[in-house]
Amino acid sequence: MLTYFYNLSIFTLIKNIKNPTAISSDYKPLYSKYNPPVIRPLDEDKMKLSSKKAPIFYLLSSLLISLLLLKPASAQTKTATGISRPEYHKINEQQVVSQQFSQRELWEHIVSFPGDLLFVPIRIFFFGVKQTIQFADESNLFKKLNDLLTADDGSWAIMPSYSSRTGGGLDYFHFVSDTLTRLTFSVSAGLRRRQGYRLGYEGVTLFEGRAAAEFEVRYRLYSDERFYGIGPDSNFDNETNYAHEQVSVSASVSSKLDENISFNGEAVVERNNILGGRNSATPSTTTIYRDTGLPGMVTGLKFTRLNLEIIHDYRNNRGRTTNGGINRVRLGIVNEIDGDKFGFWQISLDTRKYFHLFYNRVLVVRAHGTFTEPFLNRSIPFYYLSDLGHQETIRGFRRGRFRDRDMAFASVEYRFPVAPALDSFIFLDAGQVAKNLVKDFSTADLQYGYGWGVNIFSENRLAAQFVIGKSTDGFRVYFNFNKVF
Amino acid sequence: MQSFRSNILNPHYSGASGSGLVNLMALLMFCLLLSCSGSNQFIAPQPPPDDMQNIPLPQEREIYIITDGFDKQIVDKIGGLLDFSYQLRKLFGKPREAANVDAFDEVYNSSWFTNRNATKEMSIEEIARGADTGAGPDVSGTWLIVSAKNQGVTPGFVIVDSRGVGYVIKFDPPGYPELASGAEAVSTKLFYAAGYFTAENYITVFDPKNLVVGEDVEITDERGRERYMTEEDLQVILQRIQIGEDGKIRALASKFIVGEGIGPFRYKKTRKDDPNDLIPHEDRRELRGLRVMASWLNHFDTKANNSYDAWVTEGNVSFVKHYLLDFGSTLGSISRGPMPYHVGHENWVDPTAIFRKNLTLGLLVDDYEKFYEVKYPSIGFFTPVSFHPQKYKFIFPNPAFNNMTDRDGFWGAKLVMSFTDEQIEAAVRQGHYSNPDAAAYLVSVLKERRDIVGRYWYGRVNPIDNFEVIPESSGRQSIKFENLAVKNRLAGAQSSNYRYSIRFGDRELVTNRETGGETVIPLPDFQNNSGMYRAADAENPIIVSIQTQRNGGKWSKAVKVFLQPGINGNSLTLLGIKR
Repeated sequence: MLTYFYNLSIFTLIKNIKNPTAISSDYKPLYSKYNPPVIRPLDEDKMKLSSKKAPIFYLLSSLLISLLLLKPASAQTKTATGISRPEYHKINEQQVVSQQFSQRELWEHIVSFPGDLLFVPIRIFFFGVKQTIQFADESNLFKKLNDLLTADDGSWAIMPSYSSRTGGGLDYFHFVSDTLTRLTFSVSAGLRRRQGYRLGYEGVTLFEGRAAAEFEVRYRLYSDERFYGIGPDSNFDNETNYAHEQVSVSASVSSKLDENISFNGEAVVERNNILGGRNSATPSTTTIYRDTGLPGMVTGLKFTRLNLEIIHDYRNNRGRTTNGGINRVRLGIVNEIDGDKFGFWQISLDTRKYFHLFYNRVLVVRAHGTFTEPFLNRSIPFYYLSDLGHQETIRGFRRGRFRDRDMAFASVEYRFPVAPALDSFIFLDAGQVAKNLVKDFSTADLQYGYGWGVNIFSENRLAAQFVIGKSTDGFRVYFNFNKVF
Repeated sequence: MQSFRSNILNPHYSGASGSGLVNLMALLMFCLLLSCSGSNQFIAPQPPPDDMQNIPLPQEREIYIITDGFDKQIVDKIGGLLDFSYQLRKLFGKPREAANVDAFDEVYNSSWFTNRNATKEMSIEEIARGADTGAGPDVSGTWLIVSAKNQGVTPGFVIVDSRGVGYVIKFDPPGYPELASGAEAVSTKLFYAAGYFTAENYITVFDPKNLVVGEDVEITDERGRERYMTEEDLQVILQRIQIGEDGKIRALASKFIVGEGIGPFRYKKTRKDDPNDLIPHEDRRELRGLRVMASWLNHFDTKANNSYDAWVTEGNVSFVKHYLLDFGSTLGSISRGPMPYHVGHENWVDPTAIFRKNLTLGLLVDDYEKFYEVKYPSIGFFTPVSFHPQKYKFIFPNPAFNNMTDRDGFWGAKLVMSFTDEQIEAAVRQGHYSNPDAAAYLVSVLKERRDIVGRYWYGRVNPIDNFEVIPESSGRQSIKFENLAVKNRLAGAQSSNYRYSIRFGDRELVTNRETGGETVIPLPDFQNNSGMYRAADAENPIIVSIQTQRNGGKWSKAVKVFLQPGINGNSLTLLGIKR
């Protein structure tokens, strides 16, 4: 919107030419005709209603008018004047009564006094807000901040980001030479020492540009993860918390098979530590489940992961989508290093379809299923179980609210435009977890979430999202900025 | 009412409830009713002081667009709710009328406005010429760039041509040739002809090879940094401009406004450092009535920043002259492309619309969403469909527009309706559209929207005007008037009827006499009763009340025409009117 307003005004252009020193000295004489003319001495008689005297004049006039209004009409005085009139009125004389030009008459001042008084603190508050906005605008604060965070030649940039899970952070991009290859470094931090660091080398072209590779080293500490038990009937009152520390190294390759279909492959080596929870409001998972043999609740657990994914993306617009859809199939195999206790495969199917209903009202239907199965009689760490209850699944529940091997959910979202860069939406999410969804699916175990949200777009790109979700556990509010998926 | 008035003026009157507060409120209500109530006497509005008197140079000021929008959208709305006198007036349907009108509800020529086409029909040549005093920039010589706007979708330059005249050069958005330049050229002609002060805007076609970057020309780049402009910057800008097959560029050249620029004017209050500026802007008729003109021309972007105050010298007098600027976002153009569908129906950020749409989940599709179609890229989105002159919304709420009363709206409609088909065609020709079909479409939409304006306002307000006292062959006098709806062919003369009453003092001389469509009303025999009527004056005038009926429907409100003996004492003359 800032850009829009800026574009609309040519005033900024005009103000630039007011300073003749900005113009070549050869052309300065050209501007002499715009120099201020000599001012005549002021005619004192004509200046009777000067701005300084005007308020007194207004007040006296108001008083006079009000008094006149309370007198019989005949008491009003009239004066014949020979005023100059527009040509179209052929009237020789005019009788007038004194009239003031103030915004209000006296009675209006009296009636409005209480409201005016009430408005004073409001005005002061908004004055402060306006001054702040004006300062930001006048000083080009955001543009300068953007300048500060972006290289002149576009070779590097720093982007602020925020999401409910990772907290606030900065993403640094550094492009290598003139290619799309870039080095990235991201830092994020939040409450309870939640933190994440990521070093990546992205966009490395392979096979003459037909594929791109990416390498990544990542450290994450999710310090306030929740665990409620395993199975569809886990209880909200059994909430515990733990910290999940993870270091990973990965390499991935992606390739566009055609205009809409792409393939991703990823190999990861990682080390996981499950630590005591940092949130004193609920018990620590490591304490409560110490003797239960909860799989994976140890430190130093190392895995290799191999993920293969095919994406069919036929959306008409990646930001404000109104038609098309996106399908994903993902296969993951996870195997423990230096041990034979853990090992499993996981397959995820996800389909999202956008139906343009009428006049940019869009219905988004999504179905998702994740199925996890251990192999060779091994186990699945509890944090790698499928889970329901975060922004990507059923909105209204906490992350990790329901966990089990399999998970499926469906979502219906209805989006409608409410302003040029603003869409609202309402949604209904439903899903469940189960040890074996095919065998154990039960409508009685379905969990629901519903709510309302707003998408804010910038240049047709989703810039921010605000969501309120409601479930049987209560309300959840989500806000994402530059981290919308 | 009389007994109530007697009571409250009696110092011993305690009131029914005995409460002092109730008495005070009653008194204030009474003041409101009394000050707004009808009266038999004629109180001519005081002519505003000449606002083109010599004054020193006021200080330049800027208005920040975002804070201005914030003010209008939030602060002013809260202020309006807490303005109890304003609310009281609203409740009683007695809004404050404009402060700078004359006895005939017209405005005086001033530093804001000059009566032009609505009072004396301008010739086609005059319409085409508008404010122009020349032929635009000299395209045969070099253009020295003295300032540049390289941000946004449409870049722009400030140049000095080979004659030494300065122009702001504005371009069309990519993919929409002629859109913004055409809209600005056409609207400029129409706003000027209506009476507002505008810049001289010319469509020009120039060779980019003639552009020369001046020394030390500062540009603000997209990152907000100011630096000197280079030839490379020029080439980058030119790459974003649509260049014709002959290598030339079409643009709009807006000539520098002569005088010292002192920033935009606000649509409320007055400018403290301009002693000529005495009438609150929200109470100026020409600014209130601008709402009608702006709605006609889809001038959505009527914010303070699209105005310009210049300290000019005419003769030996220096004063502030008030201009309207930047018509690139009019008709079907929003400068950077075609008008979005919601323009005119919602403010840019419209909390009411956002709330309503959320409440109805967007299921109620507004009419204006249904008819979005850009028929011609050079025209953009401009349609008479779902256009409503009273409900039209602007980028921000505008204090002057918000204060517009029916009388202001009627006056504004007279400006709009003053444009004949030929005049509109002449104005559109100044857009130099290469596609005749596009130009014809624009003309047709302008005509249709003009007639919608006329039908609405001439239906809402008794549309009789242009009163004259004329002598009859019998020696008596008559009042002659025009029905503007009939004059503009919005209503048939045959289907219009009038009735009138004539009153002098306490005597009703004629009561509800119908004319059967005649627009001449015989006045009382003044010469044979001169002794009686000579006593008439503004305090006790002869009042002719005229109502209009269309197609046998309801009678309109009366327009009161006030008369008194002229200077020679032998005949009646007009004092003024009251709508």
